[in-house]
Amino acid sequence: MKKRKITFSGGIMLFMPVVFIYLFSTWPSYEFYKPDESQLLVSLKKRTEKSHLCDEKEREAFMEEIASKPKHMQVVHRECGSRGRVPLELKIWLDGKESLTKVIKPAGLRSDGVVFVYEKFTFQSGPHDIKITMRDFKDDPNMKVHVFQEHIDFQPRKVTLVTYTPESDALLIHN
Amino acid sequence: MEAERDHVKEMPKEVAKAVKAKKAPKYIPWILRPGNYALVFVQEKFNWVFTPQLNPLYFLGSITFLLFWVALASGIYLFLFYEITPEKAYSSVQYMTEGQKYYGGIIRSLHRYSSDGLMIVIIVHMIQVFFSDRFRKYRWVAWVTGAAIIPVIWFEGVTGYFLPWDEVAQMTSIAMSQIISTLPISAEPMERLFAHNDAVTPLLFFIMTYLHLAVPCLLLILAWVHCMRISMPLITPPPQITYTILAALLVLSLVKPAVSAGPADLGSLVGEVNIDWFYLGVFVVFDYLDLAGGHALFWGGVVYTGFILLPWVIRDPKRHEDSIATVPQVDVRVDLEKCKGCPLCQQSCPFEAMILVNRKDGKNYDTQAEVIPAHCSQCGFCVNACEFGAVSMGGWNKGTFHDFVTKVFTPAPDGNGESIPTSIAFICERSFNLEGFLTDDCMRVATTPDVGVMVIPCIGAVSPSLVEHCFEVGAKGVMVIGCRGLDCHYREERRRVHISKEDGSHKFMVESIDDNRLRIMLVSPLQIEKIRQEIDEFNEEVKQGVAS
Repeated sequence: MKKRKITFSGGIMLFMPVVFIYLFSTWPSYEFYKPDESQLLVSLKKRTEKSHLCDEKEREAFMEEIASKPKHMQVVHRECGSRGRVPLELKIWLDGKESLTKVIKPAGLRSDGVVFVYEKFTFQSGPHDIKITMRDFKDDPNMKVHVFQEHIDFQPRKVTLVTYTPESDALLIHN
Repeated sequence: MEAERDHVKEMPKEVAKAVKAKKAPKYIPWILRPGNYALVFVQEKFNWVFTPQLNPLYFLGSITFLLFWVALASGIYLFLFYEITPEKAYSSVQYMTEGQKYYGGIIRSLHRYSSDGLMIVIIVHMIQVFFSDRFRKYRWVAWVTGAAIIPVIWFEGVTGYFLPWDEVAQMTSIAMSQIISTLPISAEPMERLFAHNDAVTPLLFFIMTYLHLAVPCLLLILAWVHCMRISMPLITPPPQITYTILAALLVLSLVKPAVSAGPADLGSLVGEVNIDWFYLGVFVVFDYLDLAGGHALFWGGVVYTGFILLPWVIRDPKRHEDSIATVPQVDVRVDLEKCKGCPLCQQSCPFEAMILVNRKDGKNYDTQAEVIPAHCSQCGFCVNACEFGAVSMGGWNKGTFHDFVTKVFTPAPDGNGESIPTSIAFICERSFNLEGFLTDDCMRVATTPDVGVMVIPCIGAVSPSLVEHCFEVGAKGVMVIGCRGLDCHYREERRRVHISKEDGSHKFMVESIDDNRLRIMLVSPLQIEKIRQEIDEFNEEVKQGVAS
């Protein structure tokens, strides 16, 4: 019985895709960031203020309304005021130059979730002045403005992460 | 029956008209023709090197399965030693790569390189089916599922590159999360999962690992649907090809073992890394062109949608006007008066278009044949497969085929007609360009008028009983001329014709037929002169055989 065999040249040709894999599985390499680049990363989440808070009168009316309802309709967790929350205004200055101004809406269809921030800036490593301000975007002169202002020596190929924690209620560098 | 016979009488005139008007049949849409010629040329070269029986281009689908099994088997081994936590993932992969006295490294390399091979083979397979016009009409399911398999395999590869948690994984996860963040899935940007090292949780690793394990199950389902409308799908390549591919992967794994880059550190930027271009090249393109995730997704979506819709975008040429086939390719019909509900037609169908259903006409048979028009390729296999003449296409059934052959070998009553041919050739309309090859009425071979001709959609429509009938009515020889190997548009090669193990020639799967008087020629469309020569030689042979 004649048995078919792959010829030598056929074997070589079958090896050709393997050469293709040999080459392109690692080559050419690609440089995503240059050796002298650094990155400032601002990543945080924050629960902003409600867009409407009840005053004393409204609260009383609200409580009366709740009490007037049958017991099974008195929603325990319902709060006075609007459900939605205000957006967050974020401003970033790099070396005194305003690099970002953004008003970010809270998550959720009714804007009742938290505000997520993820912004990154890549630049030459070395010392840089960074200023970040963050405030709930509400027409209220007493609204607290969180300010982060530092002169940072950015190391080559390092990421400096600025974040916010409710515990500290401040913008700070994540270590 | 009378109407059918009239149709037979009229057919040559119609065919002659068509030939004069249109010259040659045009089966392939014009947009595919240059690629089709190139493909035929490349396949011909591969046939020369490998022989058609071992040409890997004919087994790309089954090679895909082979590479998938290699990736799956090696992946199961790697999973046994892989630790699903951000702290230990890198070290566990390093242990397999360097600590397991090399064999873990080889298996890891086999896993990676078979996955790379999978991507190459799938793309070549896709190019092949596209330019050979095997993606439209009754093949649209295979095209759409094949198109779905590509991104799924890519996603599988990307999840795989996440698992070693090295610098490549870091780059991949950030780039991928940027793209996913543009989808309206979650309000939280997915990049935040990779904001710092502590943000990467064991839960994320658990999800990625099980995604990497679950996606192959999805791939198997897609592969099943991909092959669903094909009867007898070829899912195992010949052993010679299997062993050569496995040897090639093993050699590659030994020569260049797959290794990890440095460990991931989200506090640092990824510098220069070695990229697996088959899976991660797309991220490099996005980074180089500075495409934001949304743009990448949009343009990727546009290209991909266009790609999936190709079977409906590329239209059929007006083939019935151009066709010179004696048997027209039109809807197949089943005559229930003759149908006995046997499975012959069903077994002959390459695309599972012929099914047996419960008998509806009250006859004393359990089943009856029924055609699913959307699956039917109009190849005509079932027409002659039906021993009872119940299946017909354009008025042609077993009886009319036999009548046609009888007419070819019957002298004209007044004695003034053409001479009786010595042999008859059943020629597949698609096998090569028949322009100038036949006489004007398409009834004889132009250079060997001794040979009568019947042009059919595919040689699968020639049954052993038709060949026997040719001999009964006086044919000295019968030639069945079709496409070479797996070039056959209707996948006929796996049914009636097979390769003799004795001498490598093609034979019918019926032993009662005299092999010396039957010649099956599976031809290359590039060798028309050779076909002429072979026809001439065979005709001479049978003439001399009869004389002696």
